[in-house]
Amino acid sequence: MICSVSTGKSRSSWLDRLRTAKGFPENGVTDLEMFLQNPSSPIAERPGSVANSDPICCSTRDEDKQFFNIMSDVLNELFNFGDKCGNSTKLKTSARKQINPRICVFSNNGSREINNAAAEKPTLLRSGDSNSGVEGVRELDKWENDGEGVERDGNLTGFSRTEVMVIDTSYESWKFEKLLYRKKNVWKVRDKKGKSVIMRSKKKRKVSRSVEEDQHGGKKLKVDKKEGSTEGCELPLNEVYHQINKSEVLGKGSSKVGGTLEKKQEDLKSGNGSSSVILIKSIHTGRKNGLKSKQKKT
Amino acid sequence: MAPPKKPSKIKKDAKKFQKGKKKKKNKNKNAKTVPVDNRAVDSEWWDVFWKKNTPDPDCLAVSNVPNDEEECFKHFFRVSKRTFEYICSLVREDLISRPPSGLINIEGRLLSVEKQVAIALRRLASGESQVSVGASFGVGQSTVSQVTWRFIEAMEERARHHLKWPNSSQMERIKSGFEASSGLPNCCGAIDATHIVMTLPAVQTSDDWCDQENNYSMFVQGVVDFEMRFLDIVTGWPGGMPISRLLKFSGFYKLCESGGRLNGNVTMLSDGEETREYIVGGPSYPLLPWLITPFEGEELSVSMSEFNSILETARSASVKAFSQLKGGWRILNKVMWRPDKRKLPSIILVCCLLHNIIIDCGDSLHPDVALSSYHDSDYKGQICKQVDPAGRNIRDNLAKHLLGRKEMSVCT
Repeated sequence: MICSVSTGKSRSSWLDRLRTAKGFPENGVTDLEMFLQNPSSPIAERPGSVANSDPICCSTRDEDKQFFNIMSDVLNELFNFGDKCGNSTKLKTSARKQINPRICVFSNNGSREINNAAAEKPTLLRSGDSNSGVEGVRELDKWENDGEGVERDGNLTGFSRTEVMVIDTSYESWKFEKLLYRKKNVWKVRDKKGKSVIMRSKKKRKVSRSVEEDQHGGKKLKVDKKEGSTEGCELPLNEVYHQINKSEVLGKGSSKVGGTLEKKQEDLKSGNGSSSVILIKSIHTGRKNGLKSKQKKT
Repeated sequence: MAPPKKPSKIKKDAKKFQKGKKKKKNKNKNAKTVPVDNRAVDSEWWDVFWKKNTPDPDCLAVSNVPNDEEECFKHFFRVSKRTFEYICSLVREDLISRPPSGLINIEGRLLSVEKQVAIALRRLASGESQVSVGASFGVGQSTVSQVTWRFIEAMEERARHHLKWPNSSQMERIKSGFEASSGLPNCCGAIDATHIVMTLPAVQTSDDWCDQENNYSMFVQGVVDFEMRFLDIVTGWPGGMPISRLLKFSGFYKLCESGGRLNGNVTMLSDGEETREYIVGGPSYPLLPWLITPFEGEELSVSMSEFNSILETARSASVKAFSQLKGGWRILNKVMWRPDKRKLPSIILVCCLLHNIIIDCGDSLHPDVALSSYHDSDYKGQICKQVDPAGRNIRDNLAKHLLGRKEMSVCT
């Protein structure tokens, strides 16, 4: 954010420059606190001159007070100060930067998330329940398919997260990373989404060999495209089956950025998907991405 | 978290190496006309090592180091000299020391491939600290660390062919092997899992590695054949996981469930029933159509008990395999001190590869090397109550078949 709240502590050269620019004498009042509190100060008589100093100005007049209140409210909302600063002293003593920066979430998005989470809740609950380790094999199968990649991280509240490096000789590529979520006796596994994964997915698909490796690295979206191509034929039948299964699940869950974009494009082409659904999905795909886009906007 | 002293030590060592390298560079300038042949097989290291590490003849009776040279070699490195040469040939390209960047020992000489392999094998076989392994070879701790990791990385790439799921003809051989040893028809392997125990810093992130015995541990699960050769392994998952979940997270489970494995020839049993291919496991595994486990309960019929003992004979292959693995490569049996959890699976894998190489090369471990007790003795056995109806049918049919065969043999 560009706007800065001037504080009483600051005596840096920019203030001097500002003063000079606004025609204040440099050798006048050096203490800003005194300067602001002094009602006879020329700045107080020019309400529109320095926008930043307006809310800090503690005027005895009602108009000024109202204006100050409005501005402080706006600033509070913008910067997420803990509580509303009712008086000038609070603002004056507050640090220039927030001590505990908080993410500014707009209420609209929040409600969307809640709505969407509520919509997904039944499936997630089912998948979580079926992972208790005491149910029948078939149920577990269902979980294996449902559980991987469908749920959003938000639904893993209370789970501890561990990155694991797994070596499994059943796969063509033996080594892969997974994210393991644990809550007591409930274990869930996710593919690890790293920066490199996204970077690589941005690049045009490479040689076929990488596909099955990506399978383990969590880059399922590649498989979507390769499905049914000569690629799959190189792998044993079962592995292909497994890949398809997983990719379908991921397509539904849209937990991958690339996957979502691809799906979005497909939906747009086919005209089947309603735009609102797409929007909600795209908000979901990783908190970081959502935040980044918001930051860019601001 | 690494101890605070360790990095500085490594830095010191690294500096030492760099100094050494500089010296080497200077030496090379003079010796440019006579290039050193790094591909030449180095046998000198063994003579030096043997002299250094063999106790006085008077103490031989007390020490367990064999007097015979070949036996002594096996004692230290678990493999015969011939197998050792084969391992060197596998990793030579990756480990060969080239003058500007090659690893050197304290005297500033380039480490030969043989010496590097020996250092790595000794570290894995003994599980002794890097310092003491280094001392036995006249190298520093960080050299042992670097050499071992380089060896592991090289083996991961170069020795993959020693751990493969068998093709159909190999599988037929395995089936007959199991039938000959236990009597179970169409059995393709035995599955088991063991914990690799480690210490971790007491931080919250370590909690997920804490198992039911309050140890920090990592699982390794393996399917073995009747010769105790690993056919499939999965490792890297925390040891606190139930074994049934470990199985379900494995690629092996997914392949078997999707019909990609254990989908070969069916066998006709004596009563006309067909039995598909399957493996056998202990009570901690679920009963599935392709994974047969023993009957559980207090009151078992004669045929059930008979079946259990036959199944146990077949399953003992996996139990013995893990005892040999952990006994032969003691690094897996000792409590590892704060290992890198990303690297530990590779160490486990390479130990499994070495285990298979010994079998493939016709070598054998010394009988005393394998663990005398159960490989996972610190852990109470789990009992999995998951029973698949199809699996139950197959188990019942097998039990009937075995009982019928026994009765027939008694009659004749």
